[in-house]
Amino acid sequence: MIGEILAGLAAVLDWHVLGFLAAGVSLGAVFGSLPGLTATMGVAVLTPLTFWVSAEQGLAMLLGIYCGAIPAGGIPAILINVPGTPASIATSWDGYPLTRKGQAGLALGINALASAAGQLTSILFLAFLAFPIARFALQFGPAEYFGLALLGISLMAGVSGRHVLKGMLAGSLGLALALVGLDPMTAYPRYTFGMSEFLDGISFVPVMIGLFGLGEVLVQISDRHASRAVSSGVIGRIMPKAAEARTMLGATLSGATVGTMVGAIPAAGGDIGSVIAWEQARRTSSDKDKFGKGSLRGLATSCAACNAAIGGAMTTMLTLGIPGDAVSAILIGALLIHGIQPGPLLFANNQSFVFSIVFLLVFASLLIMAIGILGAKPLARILNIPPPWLWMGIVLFGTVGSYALNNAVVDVWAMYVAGIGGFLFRKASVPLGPLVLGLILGPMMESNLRRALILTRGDWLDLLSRPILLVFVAATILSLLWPLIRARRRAAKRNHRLSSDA
Amino acid sequence: MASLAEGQIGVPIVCENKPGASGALAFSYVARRSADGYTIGHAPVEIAIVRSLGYADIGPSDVSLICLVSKTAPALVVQADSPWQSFQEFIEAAREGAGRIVMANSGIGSIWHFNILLMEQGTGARFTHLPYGGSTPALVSVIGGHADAAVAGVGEVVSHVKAGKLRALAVFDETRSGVLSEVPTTHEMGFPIGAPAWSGFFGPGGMAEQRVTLLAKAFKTAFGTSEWAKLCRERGMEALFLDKDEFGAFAMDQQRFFESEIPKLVRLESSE
Amino acid sequence: MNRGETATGGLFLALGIALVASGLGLPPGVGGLPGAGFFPQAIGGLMALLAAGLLVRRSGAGSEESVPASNLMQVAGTAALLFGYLLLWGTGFFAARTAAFLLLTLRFLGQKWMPAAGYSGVLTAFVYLAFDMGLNVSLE
Repeated sequence: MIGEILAGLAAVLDWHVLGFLAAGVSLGAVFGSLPGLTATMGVAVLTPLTFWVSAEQGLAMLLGIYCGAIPAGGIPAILINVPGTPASIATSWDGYPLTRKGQAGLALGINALASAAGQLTSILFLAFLAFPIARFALQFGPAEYFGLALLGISLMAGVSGRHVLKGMLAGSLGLALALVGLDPMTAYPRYTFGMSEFLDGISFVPVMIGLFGLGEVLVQISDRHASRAVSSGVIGRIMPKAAEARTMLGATLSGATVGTMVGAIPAAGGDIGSVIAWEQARRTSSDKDKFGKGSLRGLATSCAACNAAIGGAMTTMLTLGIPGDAVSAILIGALLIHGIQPGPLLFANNQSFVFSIVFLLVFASLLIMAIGILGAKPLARILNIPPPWLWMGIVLFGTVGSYALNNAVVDVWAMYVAGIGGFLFRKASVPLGPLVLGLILGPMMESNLRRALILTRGDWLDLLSRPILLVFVAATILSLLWPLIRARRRAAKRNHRLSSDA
Repeated sequence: MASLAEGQIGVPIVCENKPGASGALAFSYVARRSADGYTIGHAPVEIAIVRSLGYADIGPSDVSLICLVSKTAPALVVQADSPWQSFQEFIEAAREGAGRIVMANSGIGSIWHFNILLMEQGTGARFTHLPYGGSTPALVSVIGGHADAAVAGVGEVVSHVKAGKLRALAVFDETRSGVLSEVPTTHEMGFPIGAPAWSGFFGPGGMAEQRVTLLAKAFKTAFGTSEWAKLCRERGMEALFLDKDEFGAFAMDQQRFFESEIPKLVRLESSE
Repeated sequence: MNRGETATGGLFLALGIALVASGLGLPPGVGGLPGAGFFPQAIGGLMALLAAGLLVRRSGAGSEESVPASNLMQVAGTAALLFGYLLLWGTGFFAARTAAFLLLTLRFLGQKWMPAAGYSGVLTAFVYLAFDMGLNVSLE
């Protein structure tokens, strides 16, 4: 065992491998921070380049892109309220308010530190609990996926802030938009209006770029010259104080745990994981009113969850040979080209290679921390660029990026329409978080509920015989009732105090 | 394949992925481009299917087929510790169980789903169908014990079979597969069923004869390289070259097959 | 109750009812299983309920911010330029079309000619190189 660990470390401690890793992390940072370019795209495009180098070098490059892109997606989320990748939506909720308060530096610093901490935690999970986690992921049948989606959808109310009813409406719109395309069970076309472009549904990424990228640009145009437009470009300090770090520690670790677990489940990744982690941290926090207004805990937990999802996805990929998300699906293909088949056999026959991957992930997380902290000051200069220039950059990258996903103009239309919608919604104080949750989780909820019912032969009550689903249903009910319970407890306390005063 | 053929025609090949609706979008896109030979498409088996499904009004006769380069046979898999050790036992159980066996498929209308329907038709077995959005989640549901069996390409199941997670009961083909040579074929067991997936290249309809020949020659040279043989072996595909006339005849034959079978199979399913 | 909320509520109520109605037209499930129309009806029903809730709710103080008319014009103009650019997609050269669109929009947003022209050129070149050369996306 020790021998394999050392061999794995030795294979990675090579200037070429570390060089490829650093190049990958830097490239990933570019892909992640530009709206319209995603981690998946970066890994897909550079995969062919790695065929000419050794397996370790190629993997170092691709893992570097993956690990670098996720925290980099948080940078535009924090600085200009435009998430660079879907995973960083929750990062913008607390990161951008911090920038508005003149604390952009601190937000970027926390992004770097919490992302690295989240990733390191998830690597510990991978190193020590890989097989239990993999078994947990395999337990996920249709009923369990339905439960996960249900829990995710019940968070809609929590992430809506003050506008719960409007948030739920936006969420139902997201669910409705997700209906477009072939019915996942019977392949019957729904709401396609006879256009074959819609058979596969509305692409999620262009809608996200539209809602959060173009929508934000239009909002900023409408706020021009107003007093509430972005501040002086003050950045402030980058490193958190010791006391701040202490308050964030628990939130970071819980975010990392949630992120690892959600990331390990195939088809669920950092985008869902960070929202669940954020909402969980908010609910259990003593200063929950600060969440969404620049809470350090909220920022730390969502950043940690995003990068921890990488470790989770890698766990599923390495132990089962099953992709945990789109990026690891491409990674599996790249490994196959090098003659390496991820799966249980890899753990049995080629342990040193598994440890190489673990060490690559460790070094990658140190790199993202270093780059994130050193880069915070220069990156924050984005705030000094004339806003119209920034807007046009976002618009052009979003446009071409949407087109590049499927080489389809219909995706650009989707992006523009979503952009107008995002603008109108924000002006009417309709929260956008629930809409995204609906879009991501709608298909997961529908297809898995219907699959689960096929398995129970249409018996709804029989679904409740699945323990994991029961846990999810209980958590869902609790999350819906929690505000009521809390209100009662408060009222009871107040009564108690009144009576004891008397 | 693109990188292998690149050296042969002296023009860099730009790969462009156009996913959507079983490939119907990509077929229509290429078919609409000018027939100069600079835009060609990858033609999988779905080009002979999409019209029968009503996704796009396009078929092999609307395009200039260039050549076929590989074929993948379907394989029936069950979980490694399932009670069924052989295809016969499995079919027996599926006949008696009248739909108690849950069969995961990679999506209604996909080529592997047709193979399941062909199996029901050819053996009298009956399954409860559990549709997924692709082969990977369908296989994962079998590994996790949520479904009893699945049908997917040999190349998609081979790694899980070798890892001891899945057991392959049959390959739907006439001859045994190179990577799963210990697994019997349906034909040798007396059930001549199976529709393989295949893949080739095509251009917009009406392409000049000599351009088709030129491209086919480039692909043929690439086909002959050891890299292609290795890639096919790794992915569980059978390297098979058909030139444009053979490919044309084969594709039309396939289209006729799907046109006649799909309505029958769909009826079979809705009568359950 | 403010007008914006009435409009939002009404729009969503109509959309929800339309979803329920269209869901009834989709193939029903067989053997007690929900069919293709089940979720459209469920989601439509939920949406209609929530929208009705928004309509009957006694709204507090109007939470909407007023946007100066000149800014609203800028938003509308930018959106019009965007859709114009999209309608012209595929005509002429990508680079020329895109640089012209950027320059026009930057001018519209009050930027000076020279810096705007320079920036449009650089940004177009960067995006073209990144996507067409780097990512192999054919933009023409």
